[in-house]
Parts: sequence; C-alpha cells; structure tokens
Amino acid sequence: MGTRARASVSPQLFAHWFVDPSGSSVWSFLRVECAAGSEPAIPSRFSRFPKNIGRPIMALLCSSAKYLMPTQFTVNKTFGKDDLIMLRNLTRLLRKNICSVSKPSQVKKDSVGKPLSKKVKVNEAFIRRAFGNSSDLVVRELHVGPGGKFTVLLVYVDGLVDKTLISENLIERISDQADKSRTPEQAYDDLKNRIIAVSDVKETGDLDNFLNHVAGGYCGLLIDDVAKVLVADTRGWAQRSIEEPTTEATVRGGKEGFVETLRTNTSLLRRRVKHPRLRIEECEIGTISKTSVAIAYISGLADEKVVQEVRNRLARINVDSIQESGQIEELIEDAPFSPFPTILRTERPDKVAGALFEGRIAILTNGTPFALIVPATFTMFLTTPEDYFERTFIGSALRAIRYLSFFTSLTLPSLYVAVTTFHQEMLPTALILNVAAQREGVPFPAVVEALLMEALFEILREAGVRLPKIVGPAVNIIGGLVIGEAAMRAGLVSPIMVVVVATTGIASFATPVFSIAIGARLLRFIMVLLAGSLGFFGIVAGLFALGIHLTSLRSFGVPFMEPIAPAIVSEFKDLLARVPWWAMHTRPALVGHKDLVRQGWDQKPKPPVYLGKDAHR
Amino acid sequence: MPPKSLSKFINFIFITAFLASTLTGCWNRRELDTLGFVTALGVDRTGEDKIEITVHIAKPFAIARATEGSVSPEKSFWVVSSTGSTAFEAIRNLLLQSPRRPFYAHNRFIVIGEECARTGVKEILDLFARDGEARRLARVEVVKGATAKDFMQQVEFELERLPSEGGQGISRSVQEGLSAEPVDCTLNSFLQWLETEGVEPIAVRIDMVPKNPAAPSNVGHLLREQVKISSKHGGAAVFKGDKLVGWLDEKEMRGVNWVTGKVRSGILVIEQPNEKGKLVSLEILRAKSKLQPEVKNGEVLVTLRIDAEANLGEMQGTLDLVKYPQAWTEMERKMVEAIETEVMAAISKAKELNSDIFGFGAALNRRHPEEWDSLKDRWDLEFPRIDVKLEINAKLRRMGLVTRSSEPR
Repeated sequence: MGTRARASVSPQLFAHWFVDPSGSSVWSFLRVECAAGSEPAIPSRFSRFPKNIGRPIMALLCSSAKYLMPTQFTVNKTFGKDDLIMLRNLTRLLRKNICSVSKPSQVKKDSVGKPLSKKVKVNEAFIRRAFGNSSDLVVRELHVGPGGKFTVLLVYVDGLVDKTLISENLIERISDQADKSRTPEQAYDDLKNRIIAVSDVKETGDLDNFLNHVAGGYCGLLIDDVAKVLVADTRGWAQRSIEEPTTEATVRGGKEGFVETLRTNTSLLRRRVKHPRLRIEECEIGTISKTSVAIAYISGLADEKVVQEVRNRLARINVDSIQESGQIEELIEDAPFSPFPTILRTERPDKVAGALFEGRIAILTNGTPFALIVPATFTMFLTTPEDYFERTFIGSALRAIRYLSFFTSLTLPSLYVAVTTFHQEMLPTALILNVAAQREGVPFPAVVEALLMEALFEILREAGVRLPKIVGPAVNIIGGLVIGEAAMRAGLVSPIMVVVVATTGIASFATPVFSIAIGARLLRFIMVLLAGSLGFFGIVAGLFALGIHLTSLRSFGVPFMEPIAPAIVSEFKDLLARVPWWAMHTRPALVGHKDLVRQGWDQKPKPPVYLGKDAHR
Repeated sequence: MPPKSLSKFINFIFITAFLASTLTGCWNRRELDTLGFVTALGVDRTGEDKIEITVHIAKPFAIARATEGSVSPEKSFWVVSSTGSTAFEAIRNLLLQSPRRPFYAHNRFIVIGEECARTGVKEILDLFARDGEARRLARVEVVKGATAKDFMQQVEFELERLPSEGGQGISRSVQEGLSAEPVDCTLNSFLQWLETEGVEPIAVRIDMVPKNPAAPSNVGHLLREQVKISSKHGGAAVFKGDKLVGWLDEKEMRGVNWVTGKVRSGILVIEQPNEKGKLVSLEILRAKSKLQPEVKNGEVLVTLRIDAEANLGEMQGTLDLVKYPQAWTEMERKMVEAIETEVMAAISKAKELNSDIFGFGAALNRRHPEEWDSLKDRWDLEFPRIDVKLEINAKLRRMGLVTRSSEPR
C-alpha cells in the first residue's frame, strides 16, 4: 500500500506488526497521522469483529487511535493459529478502511543511539563489523603526541574521498603538528581547531551518525580516550562532466545539463539565480540509500504553503532507497493513477531556473540529472525553453505545431478508423475512393489494422531505444523499411495506414516531454478501440472523458489545465502564443501570486525620440 | 448571441464546439470494402408502372491500378439497373445484383430521363429528400430525348475516369465560365423551388453527343480512347410543378441567370463599332440584378435592374481605342443591347412555357404579399402577361494588354 496523496486531509493509520519468532507475543506500532484537532473516527465495522480473541488487541487499537500518537503495545499472551488468522483479518479490515499497513521494517538499527566507546580499539572493531569488512573501507592508524602515545584513527571509504586532500591536509599536518598536545582532549581540540585543514569539520558523539558520514565520503577521526569523533568533509569522486542534455536538446539556449552530483546541480542553479533568496533545503530520503534530495525555490516568489507541502510530502516518504527522481515523483504526485504526469521533470538548469522565477519549486535528487518541478501544468509539458529564447513569432509558431502534434499523436489513428468504418461520407469522393482502393484486399477491419500497425510501431520504437548504437541502424532499416514495405506488399496493411502510423509516430516525437508523450501513446490505443466501436461518437466520448479527467487533476494545489480550465484570461499570454517578453509583465497568477509583477511596464523597445527638428545633427 | 466578457465568450465557444461535436451523425459500422460507392444515379419509369434505377458504382481496385501507373483496360465503374414499384424498392433491389452494399452519400447526380420527367418527379425525389444517407447536394439533371438508363450506360467523358467526375467538371466550368446552366441546381434547391409559391423549378439539361458515330459498343471493357458517346451539360429543363414542360438552350439559360443575378462569367459577342462585319468579344466580369415587382392597375410590372461589368477580350477589326475613345461608350451601349436580347429571349421562352422560373411571383410575394394573395390563384394567367421593364447598366473596364490589334502593313 503506498502512501495516500493527501494525508493531511484524511487521517491515516499506520500499523506495523511484529510477530515474535516464537509466536508468543505480538508488537504493534500504531501511528495515526491527521490534521491537528480532527480526531479520526474509528469505523464501526471494527466492533463487529470476533469477540473472543480479538478483543484485547481491538481495544488497544481503538484506544491507541484516539491518542493520535505513536504507541507500542505488547500483548503477553501465547499466540496460536487462531490469533494469526485474526491478525490477518484485522490487517485486511484495516486496509479496507482508513489505514495502510506496512510490513515491519527490514533495517536493523543495532547502532541506534549507541554512544561511542572511549577505547579506539572497541570503536574500530565496531566500525569494521558495521561495514562487514568491506574492501573499500580504509582505517589508518596514526600515533601522535609526545612519543606518539595517542592513537588517532582515520576512517574513510576509498573512492569517495579526495586522497590528496587526506594525505596533505590531514595525515601530513597531523604528523607534523600534533606532537605538542599533552592530553588526548587537548589533542582532540588541536585537531579540531587548528590542525585539520579542511573547510567543513563536524563533531559527533553518535556512532550511527558517524557511520553515515563515513559512508557519504567524509573522513572520520577518532582519538583514543576521547568519546567524540570528528568528521571532515573530504568528499571527492569521479563524476561526469557537465554536458549538453541528451533528452532535451535545443538549438538556442545554454548547453549545460544537470549531472548526477547534487552539489554540481545546485551550483548550476546558483549560477543562474545569483541572489541569496534562492533557497536550497536538503534532506535525506531512503532508509538505506540515504539519497540527498534538495528542494530549491526562491523565497518570496514561491508560496510558502506549497513549499511546506513539498517538505511534508518528502518527509512522508519511507522507502529503503531512491535511485532516481522518478521514484520520488511517484511517491509525491497528486494523481498516481493518471496516465499524465503532474510533475514536470527536466535536465535543463535553464528550465528549472525559469520555473523558479515563476514561483515554482524544484526538487533535485542526487544520482540523477533529472530535476522535478512542481506545481506543473499541462501547458508546461508542451513548452520548451526555446519558446522563450527565440523571437515571439517563431516561439509561438513552434508551440502551435507542438499542440497540433500532441493532438495528432492522440487522435490521428482513431480518426482514420472512424472515417473509414463509420463516416465514409465525410471524405471527399476522390479521397475515399483512393482509400477504398488501397484497402482493397486488406483482410482485417480498419480497427484491427490500426492496432496491428500501432503495436508494430511501438515494438520498433522500444527495440530502437534499447539497442546498442552499433546495431541500431540495422534494426531501423529492417523495421522501418522491410517490415513496413513488406506488410504493405503482403496486403496485411494498406499504404495509407502506414502513412497514418508514421505521421502519428513523428507527431508523438514532437512532444517535448517524454513522459506526457507516453500518456498520449497509451491513450491512443483506447481511442482507436473507441473509434472502432462507436466512430466519431466514441472519439468525442473519449475526448470528453479525457477532458474531464485532465480538468480534475491538480498539481500541488494548482489546476493541471490552468489556464484553459479554469480559464484565466491573463494567462493566455503564455498559452498558444507567447507574447513578447516586454509584454510578459506578470508571473503565472496561480503560482506566482506572492509577487505577481515580474518586470517594468515600459519594456517595449522603440526608436529614441528626438525633440526639435534639428535634433538629428 | 455571444456574451460580453471575454472569458464568458471563450466558455461559450468551447461549449458550442463541444455540443457541435456530439452531432456526429449516424454510426452504422460498415467496413470500407463492403461498400460500393454510388457516384451517379439515373431514374426512369418503365412501361409497366415501375421505376427503374440505374447507378454507377465506382470500382476502387480499377482506379487503384490506374494510379499505380499501368494502363488499365478495365472500366473504373460498374453500371447496374434494377426495378421496383417505388424508388426505394428499386434501390433495395440493387442488392440482388451488387456484392457490395451501394452507398449513396457520395452520389453526385440524380439523372432523370425525359419521359420520366414529363410524368412528374415528386414521387421519386421524396426518397432522396427523406433518406439520411443520400445528400441533398446531388445535382438534378434531365436527359433530353433519352432515358436516364441510356445515358448512364453509354456516356463517358474523356479526361475523367468516372463519368460523375466528368459531369461535375463540365458543370463547374459551364457555371463559372459560361453561366449557361442553373447555378447550384442541387436536389435541395430543386425541392425548395418546388415548394415555394411563385417559383418553378429548373434542372440542368443534358444532351447526349455522339463522339464516334461508328457503332457504340456496349462491351464492358471499354478503352478510354474509345469514348463513343459523351454529353453536353448546359441549358435547362423547365418544370411546371414537378413535370417537365420544355427546354432552354444555353443562351436562354444565361438570360435566366442575368435575371436572377447569377451570371459569373461568359462571353458576349457584339458588333464592332466603326467597322462592319467585325465582331468584338466581351468577357463578363460580374453582374448583379435587382427585381422590383409592383402591381399597377391590376397589371404586374417587373422592373429589372441589371448591373454588369465586362472586359474587352477580343476585337476582330482594327480600332485604336486611344484615338477613338467614343467607341468605348458605343461598345457599352451594344453590350446593353446584347444582354437585353438574352434576357428577353429567356423571358419570352418562359412565358411561352408558362413557367415562372425566375421567381417573379415569389418576389411579388415578398414585396407585396396582399397583392400576391389576390393574384396567386390566377398566376398562370398573369405570368404570360407580365410587363418587364429592363434597366441595364453596363460597364466596360479594361481593354487588355494592347490598345489596338496588330495589323498587317
């Protein structure tokens, strides 16, 4: 069961069940989340639960729910088969009603809150055990102080650290300068305040925290007889250089794309928004992967409530690992079952910066070049940065083509099917005779023909995307030429169908954001089926349903179809046509309302005005 | 009425568009290859009180083969007839012979044989008006001196693969270039004329023209180079009620078009001023007309004002128009005369047939309804006595690229 999209609205009950291996006792962690002041009502159905065994647990469950806080209960009672059945039934009931029941967490937190030992050897043994003797863990022992009587332990993970930094700024300096310290405490203070020549040094007494830092590329320093450790930021690893984004190439505009390292990505944003109001808040998501995730927004432009909502949704994520921002997207999006994404992803810093200036919020994830932008609206998915960089007419024309091609990729095959099987009167005579002539001898109904070719095309595309570059062209030739041509000659499909499918395919590639193009691609099959069974009526019904669905979507509180539905006339400046920059006075009303006016009102360029008839001299 | 505020207006547009898109028509599922596209349809009455329907059904495969480049000896259409007591029955009986269901939405022509037209077409046309599949845009034409079946079976056109395409091409150019046939003479207009008081319907007149008198053959594999019989579209079939009463030739038909203001183009030939026996062609540019009927002393008087413009298109003699500008007004005067001749010819022919094809009665009804009420019962008697007063205003616009003809010296 995934987390609900709007936890803040309806109360949610999380129950974690642990059954003791011996079967003798059960622990239940119950957690209720709801808005303050609104206590969840316990469904009356629970009262109909079997009385005999369920009672104690039921009572606990109900009473705990009322307290609205995490609770832990132990039932000291021998557990039999009946109890397990009861437990299963209870779980089902909980699922049906208000709560989500999760499996017990797999993470062993044996070091939670465990204080450091004073003895370096004990700590070392513990660290080694925690890492399970991983080969990339390096533990270096140094002896400092008069006569080398204090042991200093350097702990780091090879490959995550800058080795030059460690040898020059840590080892060399410690060996040279730490001899004057008299006591271990003094040596510790010297290290912290004077000797370690690394910009970021933190102090911790908690072993778990320490281990996380070491696993993240920090270098840990332990001193014998001191129950505190220092972690120095020595992170440095091989990373991809900044390249042109592969999925969103433009003709005009910056060629920089995000990379996999979060810090580089935030720096790319900082370089475009040189103002202290650019806020970058960082958190870790993933109980094991500890992926760094950053929220970026411009304070004063972004609505603080939306920022808080983003923080809440991110905080609610409870998964073991995050590999890509797509996982975060799925865990925080508003409409998990919609074919359309309600969060925009991009690997272009200029696109993110543009969104920030509109009052939107970006979520950057370590390990992927794809950033997320919220709130996202439908029109953003059909927009490219070039629309704003090219002059207004070109930008508007390109955008019109994109809208057209999105609609084409959604409906063209279904229009073909509808016209050829239901509305033969709608085409000019010469054209319908031509189509009829081409369909002569095709054994399938038009709808089957369309589905067949569409499926073939999807297979070709999928094969083409995954293939190594060396065999790619060969497959394209076989697929495109041989199969298409041969299917036509074999009389399986009509030539016009090939034209329709090819046009549709090209049109779907003209949609700039892949994730929404996929939505249209999937819906295309439904539209073809509707067209094949009901004709234009089916297409119109499908488009109606689609329209209703799209207008019902929200992305972080903003209607997805804004400014079309609800119609916001002032926002038409950036809908089908983009008005020139000098007329783009305001930010989008629904996201940028905190600071609506974005520029001066007299930006329209004009020739200078001279006064007097001889002024040109 | 669109609302005033912009966003309401946009909502209005959206709602209208959505509502319109629900009017998507009937939804019978029929695969393309189960349909036979009827491109032209002929109607006759046979001896034993039956109605005979003859249709052209396009053969898509024959057309396809031709577009692929190889010369196809096959006719690209199939002619088939069937009979029944009513038109609908006759049409349904086609199913006895046709492997593909005839589909009438692309029918371009309803061709009526002369005999049939003389006995009345009301019973036949009702089906095409009532049925949703056949379009009211089909043109109504009457074959002079033959049955529709003969026409359908024999006539073909050079340059076009399907006779319906050929007929349509000719009709279009006759309307646009000659103004010698009724404009927009569709089933829809025909039925409107039929239904309106004070107008009689007209239909396009077709004459069959033998191209190669050496034995027309009915062999199915007619090669395109061997078109035996073609047809001429132009002039009009004049109806009185739903019965054919007579014919107009091309000139007379243009007279009708002058009256109704539907002349688009055409050539007016006049005598050249200053030079005997030489002619001048004027190309009509545009024309409009205004009818003003009134009743004076119980007599109907129609004032007809025609404004016409033309270009000088051709001159047989040599006349330097720069030197003799007065020839210009002379030609305009002759143009007026020429138009007057055509109009009067049409009017006298209509009076002779006693069929008010111009809609004088309807115009009177619009302008003076009470007088029309007293006249309409004896309109048959009044119409031939109508006095038509012509006010023709002709303008010559341009003389072309030269000011005088080239002259041998």
